[in-house]
Amino acid sequence: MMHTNKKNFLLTVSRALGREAIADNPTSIDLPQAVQEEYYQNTTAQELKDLFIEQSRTAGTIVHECALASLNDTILTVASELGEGPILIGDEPLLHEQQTAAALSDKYTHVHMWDCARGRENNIDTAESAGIGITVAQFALAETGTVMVHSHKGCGRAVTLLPTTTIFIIKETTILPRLTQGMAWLAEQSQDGLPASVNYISGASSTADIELVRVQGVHGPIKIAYIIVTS
Amino acid sequence: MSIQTSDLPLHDRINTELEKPFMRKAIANAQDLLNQKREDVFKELGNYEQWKSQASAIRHHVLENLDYYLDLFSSNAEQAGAHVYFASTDQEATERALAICQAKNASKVVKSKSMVTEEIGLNEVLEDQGIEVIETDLGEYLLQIDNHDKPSHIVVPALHKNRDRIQQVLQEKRGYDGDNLPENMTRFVRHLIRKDFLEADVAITGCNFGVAETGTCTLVTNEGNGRFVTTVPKTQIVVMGMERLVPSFKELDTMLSLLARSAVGAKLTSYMTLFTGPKKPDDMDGPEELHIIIVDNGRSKVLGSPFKEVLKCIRCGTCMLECPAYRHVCGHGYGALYPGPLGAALVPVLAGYTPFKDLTKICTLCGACNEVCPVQVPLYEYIYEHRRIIAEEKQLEGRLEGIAMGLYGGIIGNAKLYDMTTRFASVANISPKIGPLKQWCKNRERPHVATQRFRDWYKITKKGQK
Repeated sequence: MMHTNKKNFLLTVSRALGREAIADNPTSIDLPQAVQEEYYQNTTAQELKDLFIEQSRTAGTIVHECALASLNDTILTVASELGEGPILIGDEPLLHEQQTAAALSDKYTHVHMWDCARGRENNIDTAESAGIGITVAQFALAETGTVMVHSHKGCGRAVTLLPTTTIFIIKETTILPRLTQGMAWLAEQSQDGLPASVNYISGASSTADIELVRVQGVHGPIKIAYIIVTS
Repeated sequence: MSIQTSDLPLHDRINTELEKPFMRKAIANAQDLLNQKREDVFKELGNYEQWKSQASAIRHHVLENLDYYLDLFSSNAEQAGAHVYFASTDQEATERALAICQAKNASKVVKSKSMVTEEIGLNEVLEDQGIEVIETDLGEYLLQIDNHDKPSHIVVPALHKNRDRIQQVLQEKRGYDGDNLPENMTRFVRHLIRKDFLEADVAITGCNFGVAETGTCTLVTNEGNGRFVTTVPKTQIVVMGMERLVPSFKELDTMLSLLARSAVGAKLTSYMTLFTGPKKPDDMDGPEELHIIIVDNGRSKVLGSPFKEVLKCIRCGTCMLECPAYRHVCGHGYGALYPGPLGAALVPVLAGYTPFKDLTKICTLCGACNEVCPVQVPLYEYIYEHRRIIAEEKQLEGRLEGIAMGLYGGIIGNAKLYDMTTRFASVANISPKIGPLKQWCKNRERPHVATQRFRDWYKITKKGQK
């Protein structure tokens, strides 16, 4: 049973559209040719990766490539170049397998993992005091140098937001052409329930609000790095 | 703030703006820079016209089926755990938001940039009840602490302020002691607002697009404040204009592919945040409660009018960047929250002809806005039609124009009168210093009437040849 307030509101809309009841079905959507389907049809995986790297660097993102075996060493190199600890790591299968936390602990005194057993406040406080956040991107988009992360038990929203620097690990095989594929993933995912928060990130937090001068680092991370793991 | 942002009459408002050299230079630079970036980024994308007609068709479809999609969106958002409210008026919307804040005993609220919350005057309502409201978009924050100054552009709201003014305001209002470099001032504000983010009880956001199929809301930001407000505060309120829907993610792709490109000439913004319901039980951050207030506030009136296509607007601000009139008077000259061609096309029908009849005059009817609108709103046709309604149907322009036109009709309809008046028309060559032509002649020359009429010249010349 529809709430009266909602019903009245929707009826006002229906009447503005010249009908006396809320439409049961939408009219068919008459879309001209969906041009986005035509993009990157014959692009190879290597070309997509090259485009992704080029676009990311244009946005000021630091990009490294490495084999899986040298992932921890690369993370260490990038971390020492970009910032200081403490470090906060997303509880991701890939980072578990690679024992990244242990590898980082050799150099950094404080290495934390997002831990749902520690509760809301503790996790947010840890993220707030962290200098570097590290997590694995669900996938990346070549056209815009974008990575996608979503909230889940192993990794909260704060991991890629509160620390001054974020390092995203991207599996080479997850580089998709453009937003079209990113949205298709969401459509597919919605069948089983969407994550509460999905973020498409294309570089560091930035602004041009003062005299149109671009400044990197407003509310989110000041520096961003991508590490592409080759297969 | 409400839709009306100035009490000054049109000419006073415009003259005030014309005397601000920094503002005029800043707007001109912004237009040139962002228009070039937009042109480049669309050139790279290709298929410009196809993208635009696709986006226009999607928005048209949504408006045609808005009751259906609102029902679908709200049901799915509720299914995902959000509380959805429908507000017919600005008052209903602000009362609802206030009630949610009070139920949470909120003393501090953080906001990410939202035009609709400005439209309904939400900040004032909350502040009247002793709730501190912090705008977290850097530009909006700088306006807020500068005695609630008004935005000059919908995407870059503090464009009219130079770095010295910003430095001065930060010094006076927030104890800043650094230099006037944008980077240093931004860092200073970052630290201030971060504290607010962490302390705030409630977050208030807008919604760029709602996805009907899933009840998802979308926030598009560069600064990351859109992410912050959906991460730390335990309660989040989304205020969305009722027309801001797309059917599914497929259509969202089209809209997002055009939004940042049109607004700032970028392929995407730094962040696109899509949230569906409150946090999940396993999530350790994000809002525990998500409230969505869907606002009509005159939109159904627009939907039922011949101007309904203006509701296709996605608030990219491109029309303003292209507009030659906006270039000179910026957002402030319009005296309305929605300035530029969008404002002139939307506001008279959204909020009434009487208070906003002058808005449509800040337009040369050049049509440049139509060419660049990513959703093909017929802006200048609407502005022209508004002018006709204001003059003919509503008769809001006074009797002077009618009398002048009646007189003109009388003269050209009578041979003797026509002959007599055209004989002496050159008397009018004295440029008027008073009266209705004064403003018009300020920056232009009036066409000169020849001292001898062509027919007289012809007669004399012909006689001489014989």
